[in-house]
Amino acid sequence: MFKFRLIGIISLFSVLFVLAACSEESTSSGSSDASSNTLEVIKDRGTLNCGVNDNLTGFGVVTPDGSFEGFDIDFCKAIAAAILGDASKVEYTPLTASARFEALGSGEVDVLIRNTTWTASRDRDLGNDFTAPTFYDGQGMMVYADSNYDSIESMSGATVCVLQGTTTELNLDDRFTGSGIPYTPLTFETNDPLQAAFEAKQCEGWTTDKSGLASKRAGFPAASGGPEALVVLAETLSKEPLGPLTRDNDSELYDVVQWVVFGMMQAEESGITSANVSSMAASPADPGMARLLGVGFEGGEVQDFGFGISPDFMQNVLYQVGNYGEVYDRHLVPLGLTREGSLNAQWTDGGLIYAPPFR
Amino acid sequence: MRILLNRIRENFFGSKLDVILSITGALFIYFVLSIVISFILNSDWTLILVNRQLMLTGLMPEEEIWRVWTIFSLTAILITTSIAFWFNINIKGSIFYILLLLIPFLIFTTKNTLLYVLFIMILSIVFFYLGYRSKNSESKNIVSRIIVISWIILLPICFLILNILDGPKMTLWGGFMINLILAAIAIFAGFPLGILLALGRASSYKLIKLISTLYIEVIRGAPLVAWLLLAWFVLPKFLPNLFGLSDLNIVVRAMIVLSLFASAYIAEVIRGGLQSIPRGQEEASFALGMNSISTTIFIVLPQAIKIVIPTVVSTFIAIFKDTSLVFILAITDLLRIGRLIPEQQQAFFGKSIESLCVVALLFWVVSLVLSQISRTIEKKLNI
Amino acid sequence: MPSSLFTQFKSEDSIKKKLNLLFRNRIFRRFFIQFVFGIFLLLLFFYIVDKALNLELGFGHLNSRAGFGLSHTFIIDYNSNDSRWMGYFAGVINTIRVSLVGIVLATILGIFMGLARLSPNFLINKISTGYVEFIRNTPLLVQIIFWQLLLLQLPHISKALTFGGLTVFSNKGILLPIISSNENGSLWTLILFLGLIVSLILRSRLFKYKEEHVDLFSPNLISFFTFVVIAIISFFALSMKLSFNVPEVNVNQYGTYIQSGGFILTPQFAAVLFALVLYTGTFITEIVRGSIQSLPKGQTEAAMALGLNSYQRITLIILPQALRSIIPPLTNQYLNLTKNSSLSVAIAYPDLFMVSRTIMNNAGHALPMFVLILITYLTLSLVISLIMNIINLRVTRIGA
Repeated sequence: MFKFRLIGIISLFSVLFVLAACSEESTSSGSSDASSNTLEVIKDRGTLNCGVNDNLTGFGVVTPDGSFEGFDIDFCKAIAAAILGDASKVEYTPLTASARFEALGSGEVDVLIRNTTWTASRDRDLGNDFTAPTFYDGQGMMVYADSNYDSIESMSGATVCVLQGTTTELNLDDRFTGSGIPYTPLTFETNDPLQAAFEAKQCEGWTTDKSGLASKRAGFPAASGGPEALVVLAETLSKEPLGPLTRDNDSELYDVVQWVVFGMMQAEESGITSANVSSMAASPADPGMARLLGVGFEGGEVQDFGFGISPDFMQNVLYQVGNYGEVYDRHLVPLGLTREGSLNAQWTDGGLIYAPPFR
Repeated sequence: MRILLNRIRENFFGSKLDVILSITGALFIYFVLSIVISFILNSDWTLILVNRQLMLTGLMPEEEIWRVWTIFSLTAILITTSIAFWFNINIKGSIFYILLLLIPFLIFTTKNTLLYVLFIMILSIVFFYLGYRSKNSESKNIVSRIIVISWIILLPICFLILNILDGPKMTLWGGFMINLILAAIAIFAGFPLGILLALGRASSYKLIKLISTLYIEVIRGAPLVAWLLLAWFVLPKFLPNLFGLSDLNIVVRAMIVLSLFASAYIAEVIRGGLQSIPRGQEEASFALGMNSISTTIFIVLPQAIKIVIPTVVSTFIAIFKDTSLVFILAITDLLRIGRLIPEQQQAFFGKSIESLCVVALLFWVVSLVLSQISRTIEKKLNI
Repeated sequence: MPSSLFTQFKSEDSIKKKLNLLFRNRIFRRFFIQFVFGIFLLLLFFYIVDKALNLELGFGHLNSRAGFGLSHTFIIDYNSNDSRWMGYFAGVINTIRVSLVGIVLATILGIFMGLARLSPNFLINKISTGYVEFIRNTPLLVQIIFWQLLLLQLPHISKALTFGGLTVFSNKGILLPIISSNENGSLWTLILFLGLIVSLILRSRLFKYKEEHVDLFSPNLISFFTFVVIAIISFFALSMKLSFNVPEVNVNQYGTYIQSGGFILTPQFAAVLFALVLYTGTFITEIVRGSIQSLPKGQTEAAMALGLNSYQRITLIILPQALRSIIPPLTNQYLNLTKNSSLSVAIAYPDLFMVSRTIMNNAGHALPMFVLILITYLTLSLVISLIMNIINLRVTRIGA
């Protein structure tokens, strides 16, 4: 008799917590109906699910109190500010390099802003859509300053540490094997053992995007020589345009993300910063600025581009996050990644940061 | 004194071989101990002090920690009551347990949480006393049932506490807590499933037997990391669109896969037990007029499970250790945090081995306690 | 079932009674239950197939150029221009390599520690107990990472430790001298192996022959002589040359230290190997201990009464009998070791699982890769089980 009651209680409670777990899921992860309009889902839900890096200084890191900060993180905040009016309404999901596309594809995150390179196969094969690149990068090789390596050719026979599941792994092989230079790759799943191996000089070179190298170099522990002990070779092994991505066939969100990025670039070009955005919105200097900020010019009509969000979204973005230059300066300049003369300068300064017109 | 000397001579220097072995052994122990002790004394253990919360609860935000404390206090109370009620308390054993559990406990207390910790300790002592008193009183049966039911509903209540009032997203659960939760769920769900599979494999219905055997052999054929990756990449595409099932987050999927994996191994163990029950038991119960379902539930299963309890508990321990494999799903469990701390926190660069030692210690303590429990259960059931 | 039930069926009037009759019959009931179960399975099967057809299936992507390099290649010569199939195959070879060596070492360690566990010598006993308790209760992954970190502490290659110029210890690996041969080496090894089998069979046949006839010769000597003759003849037939290969560390013009010669034990391989051997060794220790303890104590006492020393007692009496109950759980542990080798994905050892991860990252197609992984591991398990089964049959055939 007691056993039956026990069985009954067990089954009752199993059903109970399965229901609790399930219902918790369906409310927190949004509806799963056939509509692929993630923009509406985000607005319903009230938060943006952003896939990010938690392990790359300057682009995405976790601070000891559990919050996220970085270049990519700021773009997450900007999108949240645009859609929801509040840059803090973001849920960050840290993802490894090998897992990021699956997380995006399965709906776990709405947008992936995780220093991801735009390639043809990723665009088509993996079912993603890349929005405007936020950072034009290239793959580089970092070696110890006291070694005699000054070019890729000099690294014949060396061991190179690389992350698994990245374009760097393939580019590295292309460069070395294509030129007939023998090398040995050490492929790691995450950066922690990779850095440990590099610090112990198990590998002579560390290859990843140059921005990543800059961030790792800046954070190189003093016990192993500090940043001065390392040098990044001048050669760039590949083109690595990094930017946010959404799922295929998700045009509403895609357009919003793209134009938030362009808006921030345009704002820098027009001279609007987070400090002066309110005064600029009150009295815009020209019709272009008025359209960008979603206000009428000298009493004229407000132009709504039909993104599905409020027309003055750029004001929220600029006020709460800042323009492209502010975001760049805040996170990437401390790493030593200067904009002058690089691809990431404004087009007016010879770089590639160019926003299509807000018209 | 002479007896002691004689014993030493017998044990250590019995024969020529013994002499060599003893000397080698002593040298070996000295060598290992000196390395270990010098390591412990020379390394900087402040990394534990700073990262306690991170290691135990992962990325759980500060304002939700009260949930973890609630769960912890409930579990602590339940554990002490069970120990008081069911275990024979002798001085040597209890001192060993108290020491074992106190060490990680003390490591993880901070100034802020001192009040919490004291409160829990007082509560535990109170319940310990209550349990001890009721061991020999007349309400023994009721108390026994209450404790058993409390253990069974502990897991659903933990879930409730973690989710109630808009709790943190499941992907934020991390650290040691998620290892324990994953292991508990895998065992909870895997055990009944394993029983069903074992019965299916031993059944005379050919189709059911075929399917059970196929399932068990396929699941046991691939390593757990492969199944976990399958859960991540492939499972979402196979789940139906009802009840929001296709949106299951990664932690739930890990739970599902761990439970299915555990069920296959538990099924094998129970099958061994089922095979060792003499056929006479079944025949006798048929002769008494019981149908086969009753026979299975009331006669065969209880005996089979009782016989294989030691092996089953060691399978549980293996499942608990296997929860460290969820690093591949980017779930921030204890091991992943232990690897991330030396990497991300400036103060602790290069302290990977210390961090790893703490992780190993936590796993070790829990596994050791579980295996001690298994031995006590064995003794109680006279196996 | 048929006729009697059928006539009864027809003779009943109401549906309810007919159904009742059907279900009372045991054979029909069993058939019905399996039928319902079968329908349910069929539905599930169609559902899964339907969903699976939406995914990309097919192994065609494995034919394309790999594009990634591997740090460990053994036996086959793999480079990034080969197809992905070759890359996968290289991974399989790596898995087999670490599993095989691991199985051998773990068994040896386990047997020694198992015997030590039962030794009356207090120190050895406690060492063995401590070993089992510490290593068994820590997750294998933690141990692999621990060994990897430990091996990182070895000195940098520029300051490598050398012992007598024969071995080199550095954090790039441990170099050991090895006897190497020209290109026919593997063929000769194969012939040696076959020769060994032939001479062992010859030995057992000769023993049988010896029982019936007067012995003028020793079967051991003859079979050994046969083996040596085979080895020498094939050596010269293949014009083999053996040389003692001493490892050396050279610096090339750019300052890179190149290790050459000898046999290199890379830190990744070593970390996985040590962790696997120690971890599986604990389980084998417990199995050996349990088996030996389950033997009747009379055996030990009789052996001691006969005046056998402990070495003879163990090798002639205890171990052969214990072997019979050791083999099935031992097989299980070997399978576990092979599957646990997949954990080398955590450090940079390219076993088959890690290579398939790389292929999945580069090309997608997760489901076919999983099927491939599953098939590979199942095949490996099958091979190990078969071999152990043969051994089991041989061991349990003798005696009762």
